[in-house]
Amino acid sequence: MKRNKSFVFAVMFLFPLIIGCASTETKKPIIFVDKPNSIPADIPSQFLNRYYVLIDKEDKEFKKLLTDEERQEFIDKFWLERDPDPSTSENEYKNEIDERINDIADEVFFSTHGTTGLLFRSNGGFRGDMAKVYLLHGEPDVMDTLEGNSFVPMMLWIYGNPNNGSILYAFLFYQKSFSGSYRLFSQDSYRMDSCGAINEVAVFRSFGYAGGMQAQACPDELTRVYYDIYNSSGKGGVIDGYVFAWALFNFSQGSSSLQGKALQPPKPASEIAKQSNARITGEAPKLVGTSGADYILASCGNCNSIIPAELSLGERFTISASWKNFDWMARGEQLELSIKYRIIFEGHNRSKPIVLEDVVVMDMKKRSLDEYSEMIVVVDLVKPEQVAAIPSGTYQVSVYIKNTLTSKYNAWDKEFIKQ
Amino acid sequence: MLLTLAVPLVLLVTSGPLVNSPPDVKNFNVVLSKELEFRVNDCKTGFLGRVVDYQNPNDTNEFVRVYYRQVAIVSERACENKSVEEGGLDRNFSNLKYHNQQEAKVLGRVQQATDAFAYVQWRTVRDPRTGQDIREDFLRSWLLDQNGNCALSYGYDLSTSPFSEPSKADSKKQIIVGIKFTLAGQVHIVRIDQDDIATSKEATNEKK
Repeated sequence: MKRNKSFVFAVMFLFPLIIGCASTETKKPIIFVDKPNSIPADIPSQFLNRYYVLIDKEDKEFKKLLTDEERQEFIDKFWLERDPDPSTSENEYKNEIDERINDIADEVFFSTHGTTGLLFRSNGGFRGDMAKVYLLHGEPDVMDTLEGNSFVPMMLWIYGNPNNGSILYAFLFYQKSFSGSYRLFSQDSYRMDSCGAINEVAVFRSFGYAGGMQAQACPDELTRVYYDIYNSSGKGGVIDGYVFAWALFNFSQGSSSLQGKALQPPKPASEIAKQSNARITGEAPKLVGTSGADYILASCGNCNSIIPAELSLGERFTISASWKNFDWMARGEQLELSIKYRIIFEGHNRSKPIVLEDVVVMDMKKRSLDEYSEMIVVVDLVKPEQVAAIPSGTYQVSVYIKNTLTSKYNAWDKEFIKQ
Repeated sequence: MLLTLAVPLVLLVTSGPLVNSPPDVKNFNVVLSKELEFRVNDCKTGFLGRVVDYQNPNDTNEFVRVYYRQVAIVSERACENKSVEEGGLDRNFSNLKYHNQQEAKVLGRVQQATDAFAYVQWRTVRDPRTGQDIREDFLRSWLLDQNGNCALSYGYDLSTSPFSEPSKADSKKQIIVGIKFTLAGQVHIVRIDQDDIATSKEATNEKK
């Protein structure tokens, strides 16, 4: 017997050397796999297995990929879409998931108070319910186990709502028929069937239970089981029995969250951001075509964002400037200037302001601008009859003009006396 | 006495000789650079340009602040916070990060075409009492007016004030739409378009 043992040890020590010598020719990659929990390595070929909880519809696409390069490209995009903070080089989400995977490999709950001796590997391993919940939601805020004579062992993982301290998620695990390993209790299925929930965890199933009944109609033996659970205390003294009793047919406190939904792969951060109401407005649409042929941009000194122009307020409201101060859209031999304006007249008597706004479009022959390089363009913003309709008085006038092609603008704030 | 002091202090020159042109900061060092922005409300910010402080490498006591304007944009971050069930705090944080990234991209694009519209030049001296650098009296300011002419002022700093006008949605309500720069009677307004601050809900309805 002793000889056999020493032989085994010798083989164990020699084996890596033998493999090492033999592998120098083939140079196959060494893949480290945690055998008890069967945790796949972080390499492209094992991507689907390692991150199975995050995979939604991507698996079909991934399986079509033939090379590791293609897979790596897919994986990079996968993580990029899930990066919660694209401004940093780190992918905080991937790091967190990898940390959780390491926790599972390290059997993080083995010496946790209330669940001492709890192992992922004894409860479905890396693909088990416990691992799945842990991968998706991390370490629960509180956890405890409950044992009794009339019901099977149960374990509760509670995640709190940081806003109000209520129970956000309560994942209930149970050892069905004393199987020895914990599996998720389907709280969603028993939301409307509290008696069925008790029957599921009872040591002795009730023959009087017909299914789909409400708690008050439960057979007496199941009601007793319910009170046994209710009056028990968690093994670690962290969670009382009544919370376990509540969790038999509830998953979340004060919300309509379902267990099924909480176990679905989370949506990528980038997708959620796109769906949010955040937006940026004001930027001009990208210019299409070539400068000089399809459009002519202002060539004055300081007019990358401004339309330098003289505003004149009188019987007519005009802006005037060299044609070179404007951006033009070319339409064949014609050039088009499109100015959006908004003029607000505020009377000194605090009456309702008068607002005039529209878009004025002005056409010009391209040839004429070439011939008269110093040509001054005068744009009538409002029609004389519109000005005539303004009641007499003194106004503070805010004038805003914007080129619809490039979003360059100008603004004035002037006093205007209407006779 | 006051009059005799005031007269040499203020001198306005339009399209004047080169000596009155704004300082050339091409070879100066940037010591501070920030957005020229204002808060429209809790969720929206109007970006109007950049403010850059330069230091003369050959005379480290000389500084020039340049105000650049750009095509104005309005950045609206997601104000409808996700509930805790939807990922809550993490998602709100993440949404903000994505929005900030988008905002930086757009700012990068619009700031490729800017116009310097105001300059303030000053010198610093060491305060013998505190040992700190303080601004010396020497001060020159330039402001581009709406016509594209530059005005120079000696001894006067630019003054800025919020620029407001009646809201398009509610004419009884005044809303800030930009910043008004004034220098010795000259005015330059940098502002946003009121149509760009319609709420995203309104914008969605308009699209429909």
